[in-house]
Amino acid sequence: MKLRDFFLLPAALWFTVFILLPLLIVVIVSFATRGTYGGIEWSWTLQNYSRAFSPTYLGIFLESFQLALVTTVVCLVLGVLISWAMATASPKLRQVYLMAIVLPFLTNLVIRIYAIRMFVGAEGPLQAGLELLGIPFDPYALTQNKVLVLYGMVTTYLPFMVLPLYGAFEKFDFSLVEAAQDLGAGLWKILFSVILPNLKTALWAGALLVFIPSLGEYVIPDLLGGAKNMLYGNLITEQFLKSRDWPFGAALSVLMMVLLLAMAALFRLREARHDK
Amino acid sequence: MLELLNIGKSFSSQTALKGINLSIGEGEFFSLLGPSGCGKTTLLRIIAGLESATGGQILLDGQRVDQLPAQKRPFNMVFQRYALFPHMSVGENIAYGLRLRGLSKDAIEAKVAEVLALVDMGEFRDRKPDTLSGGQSQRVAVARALVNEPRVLLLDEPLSALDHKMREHMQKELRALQQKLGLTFICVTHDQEEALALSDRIGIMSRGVLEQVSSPREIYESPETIFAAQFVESTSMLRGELVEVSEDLATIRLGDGSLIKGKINVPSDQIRLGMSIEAYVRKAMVFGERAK
Amino acid sequence: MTSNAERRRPAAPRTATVVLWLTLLLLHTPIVVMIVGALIEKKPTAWSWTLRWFAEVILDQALMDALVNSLKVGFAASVFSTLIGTAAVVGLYRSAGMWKWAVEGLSVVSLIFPEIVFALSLLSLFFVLKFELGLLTVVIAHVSFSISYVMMTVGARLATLDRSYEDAARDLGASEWQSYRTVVLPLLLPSILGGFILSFLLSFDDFLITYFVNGVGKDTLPVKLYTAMKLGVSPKLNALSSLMFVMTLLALIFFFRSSAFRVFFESGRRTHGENTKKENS
Repeated sequence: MKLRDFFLLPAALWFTVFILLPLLIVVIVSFATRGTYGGIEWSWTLQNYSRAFSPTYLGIFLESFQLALVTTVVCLVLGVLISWAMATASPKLRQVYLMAIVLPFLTNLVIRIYAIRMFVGAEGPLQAGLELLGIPFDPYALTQNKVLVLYGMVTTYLPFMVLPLYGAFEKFDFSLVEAAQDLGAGLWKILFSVILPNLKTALWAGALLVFIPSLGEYVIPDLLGGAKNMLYGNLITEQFLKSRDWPFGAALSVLMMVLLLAMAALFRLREARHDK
Repeated sequence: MLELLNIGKSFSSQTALKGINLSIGEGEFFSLLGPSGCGKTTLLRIIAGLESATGGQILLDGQRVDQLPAQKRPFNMVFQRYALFPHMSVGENIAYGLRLRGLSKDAIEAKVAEVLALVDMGEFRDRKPDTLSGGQSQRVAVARALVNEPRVLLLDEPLSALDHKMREHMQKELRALQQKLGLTFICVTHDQEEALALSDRIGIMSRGVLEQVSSPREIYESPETIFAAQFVESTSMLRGELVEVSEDLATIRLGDGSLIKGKINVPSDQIRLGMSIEAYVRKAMVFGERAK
Repeated sequence: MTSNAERRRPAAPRTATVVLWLTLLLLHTPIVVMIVGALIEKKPTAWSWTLRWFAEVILDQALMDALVNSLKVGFAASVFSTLIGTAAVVGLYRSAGMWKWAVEGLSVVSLIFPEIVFALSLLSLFFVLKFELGLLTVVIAHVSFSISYVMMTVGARLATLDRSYEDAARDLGASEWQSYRTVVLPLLLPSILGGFILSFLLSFDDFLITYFVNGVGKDTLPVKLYTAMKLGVSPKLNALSSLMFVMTLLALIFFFRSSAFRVFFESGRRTHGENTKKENS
């Protein structure tokens, strides 16, 4: 063994024991049975999976899928416009914008969610403003709803979309835009016919980077959505931390992983075909 | 003193160096001249031990050194962009090799001061490399190599990072230093003028082959191959018919009927009157070569 | 800068710039409101500035215990992940084969998997191994997700490191190990520091994974904040959040100032070596 391999050893061991092995255990647990008092009984069954496909849970999954999809689409639209505006700003301003976009992403999620709750909460500026204007509102509905969840999701995951897109814009040859302008095309037409086709890879990468964490998100819907909005991440978390039905929770997570892996594989396949 | 025997190098399927044989004498300034990608830097790195040859031997005073790792070979190198360690001062850079050899602090101090004086950089001892100009960096790089008292100093394009004026100045300095020390220098360069001005002997390389090894004068006046002739100075090619040969002087009739005379480079048993022949012309001389 | 970057870029439509500004506004307003909320107090007649809420936070023993836990975990996790990650990057440097493939693959897996999968799989591991949950399990979890970030930060720097420094060290008599210790590592130091700060930040800010694997009564600050805000907002929580935000911000400023940041985000755009970077910094 060479010196270099010794350097690799700690990371290789750590990854094996604390990433690979845990994933393996989850897969194994997903075929086990729930014990009477919430433990795991090692008798094998496919029941957890068939349960996961029952209408109740399928409905929750579809709801989460829908939210993740909407989040991705909103981030996509915002991301394209934002990174376009960023990339065409002056070099100094570009750095400022980049910082302003990345900064919240690097600060604590719980704090950001807290700030949103404070903003819309009792005595918060939103309710105070509505009161001042004499507009009637339902304080409870205002603090916990789907729009807030979407707002939380979009502000959290937008940087994952903007960073790859902005990177692609930086490499983009803007003389193409000038050429198209010269031929009489308007900016919006240029966006769809010249710019976006050149950003395809970054668009897909950004979409994937937003979609993957969105699908399993727990904190945002939990804190902003209220009890009515049960999503997939909350469902999984509940199996592990509250109902103590680990095998079912494990099965739900395996299904999610399979779906996400399939999407990532599809993305790679598209890339590979693109390279040819 | 330094002998290369049949050195070869191939990467997976490509051959980078083919059967290089070369013998370099004590105190000689030897240049490896060739276009980029000809294998000259690879050869230098093989001599230094930074890369290993796939075949052949390297002998120093008759002893094989090619099995030694780089750090055990009595050669030191001046790198193309100097590779001065940016986190160390000039003095620390120079002392680096001495520290690794475990010399006493006083001995290191003395040697560093001595070699800095040699390259006239005494007052820069505590400066960081990024505050130095190109010429100063080059001197420090030379000092860092020399302080280890190598048997051979290897220089990889030592002047290519300098501007034109500075380059001429450093050429003189380098040559003077080499003569003062009487040390063997092997210098890789793609600059013909530099090689002609500095070297005792020049080896011209092309596509991994050593085409010609001779003194600058010989290289200039009697190149052995078209490549050597063309690389040393740009030439124009004229094609014509061989009409007369006396001794090694040939007369060629060109397409428009005009006659030119020049030294012929074709073996005598292959000379036929009336054959098609190519004449290479450069500013200083005309010579002939059989057409392909 | 490449010439391409300096070339004129036709402006984006006004709408795009407006969207950019609106988004920035939406992104930052709640934070500003929160900080203002932490600094004001409602007196019977009017609002006035106060530091009362911050004093309450600092005097709250439970919160201070959580802060100590957060700092302990953050420090331990970033020391380990920096050591392991840096070693791995140096080991991967120009090596090939199974090892490289496995380590790189797994580091990517840990980067892209949803946090929740990460969290529950570690919880399952600790459960199966009958590992008692406590601060140690939190540290293990944080190290697991930080290693990849350290590898990214240090690896980006190593990729642009001029190879001739190492060659020069070898030529001057250094063994492989000596050339790492005396030349490669010192040159990587800024990015290693960057990796350390980044993993400290990730650890200090992590909620979900900590929530899954921490022991009873061993809360970190984000977990405390989460539990408290389930009950509603209050000026004291504003102050706590603001304090945490400022701490993160300070660490971030360190991170951005370290050369690591440049390499981290610009590695894709720049492929050349040392010279240009020196001029820019």
